[in-house]
Amino acid sequence: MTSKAQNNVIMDEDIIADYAAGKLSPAKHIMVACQSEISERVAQRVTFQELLAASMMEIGGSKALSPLFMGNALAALPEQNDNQPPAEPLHTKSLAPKSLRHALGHGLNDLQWKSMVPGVAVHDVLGDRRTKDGERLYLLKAKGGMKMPEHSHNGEEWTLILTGSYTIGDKCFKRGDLHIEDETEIHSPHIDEGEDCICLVMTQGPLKMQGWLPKVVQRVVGI
Amino acid sequence: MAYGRDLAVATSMPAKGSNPAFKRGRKASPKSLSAAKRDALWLASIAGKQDARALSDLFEIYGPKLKGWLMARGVGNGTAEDIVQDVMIKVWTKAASFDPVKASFATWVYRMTRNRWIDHQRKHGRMDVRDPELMKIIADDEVPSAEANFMALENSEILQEQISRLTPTQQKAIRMAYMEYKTHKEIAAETGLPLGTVKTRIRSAIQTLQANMAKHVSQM
Repeated sequence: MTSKAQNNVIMDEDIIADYAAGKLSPAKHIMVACQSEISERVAQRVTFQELLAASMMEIGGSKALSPLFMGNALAALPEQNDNQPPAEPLHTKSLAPKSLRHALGHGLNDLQWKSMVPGVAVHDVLGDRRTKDGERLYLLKAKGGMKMPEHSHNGEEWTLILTGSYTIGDKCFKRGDLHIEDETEIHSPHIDEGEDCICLVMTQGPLKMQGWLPKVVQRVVGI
Repeated sequence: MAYGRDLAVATSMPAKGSNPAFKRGRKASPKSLSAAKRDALWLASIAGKQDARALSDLFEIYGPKLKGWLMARGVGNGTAEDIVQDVMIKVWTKAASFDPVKASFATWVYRMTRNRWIDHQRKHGRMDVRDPELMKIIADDEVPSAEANFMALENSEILQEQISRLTPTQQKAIRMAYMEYKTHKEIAAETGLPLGTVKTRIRSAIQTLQANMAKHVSQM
């Protein structure tokens, strides 16, 4: 298999611009934030767009703060914490991006995985209900070597690989790659041998499973 | 919009010596060239001396802009002020981690505000922002510190100058996309332009900016 190391940089500039401007839905926003923490090249593109968006904020229309705002805000200031938290040790940084931990409220070690079929487990990040846009964000963990059921999607599916890797056809997706599929695509990712593959997944509406067994499982697990 | 007028003034200036035109055209601009340095000094004073006065000075300037940014996204007056207040508290508690080499205060505080706004949407307004647990999370939520060459202190001013040098149609596209919070589809509907043209126009404006910024950075 040829590894396509460039997968992570083909993201549409529009997505990055929308991210910087705060226009993405929360689920997509978290995905891009996580990717930019992992991929330096994405981070640079994000940085430029944020610089632009911040300038727009600066020269955009102001709204006066209410007269009591400043007094109230100053009165509500907490104690300043002199000891700044130490820089993150590298090994924790390498697994769960900070934006993901922020969304979860904790790290990857404290997750309660919900088993789907042997070898596959999920953990919801943005509740287990649909968010307002019909989007859902969850972590998916699959054992190295297994083949995922063939499926397509209702709407888009975004997958950000955090650990391990998987292959679809001749494309290999690995840590830091953000893989975006639309509903026209039917695929069945093959998890590469070795390490478990943990992905952050955003879907818009339920997956469309191809076989009867996955359909039953889907009903039970509710992906 | 006042912004449109400012830019119109700026672009109607003869563009020979860049700096004089820039300064005159942007007389009422929110930042002089030393604004970033001034902000950095305030931040240092907040971090080093618990200087609440510096914090209120910063937010006299940036608070109304952040509130304006939020309200342009349909956030109500009260919620917008709540978010600005959260951000103000975060600036207070995180001032020591501000690094003026990596980003200007404007960019730093913008990211915090945007991320708070996303959090707000995520929680559908069900939260009480004064909840101590939440405050802890907010305080812990550090903005990503992406390094890039163009993150030097004055870049925001340079960028604003570059924006004022775009063609009027490019400026308009950028303004609608970034300041009026419009999707490409909405821009197409409003301007009567085909969607593809809107996308191309925004992209070309961005590319022009990127190219000009890169030139600037290489000259620094």
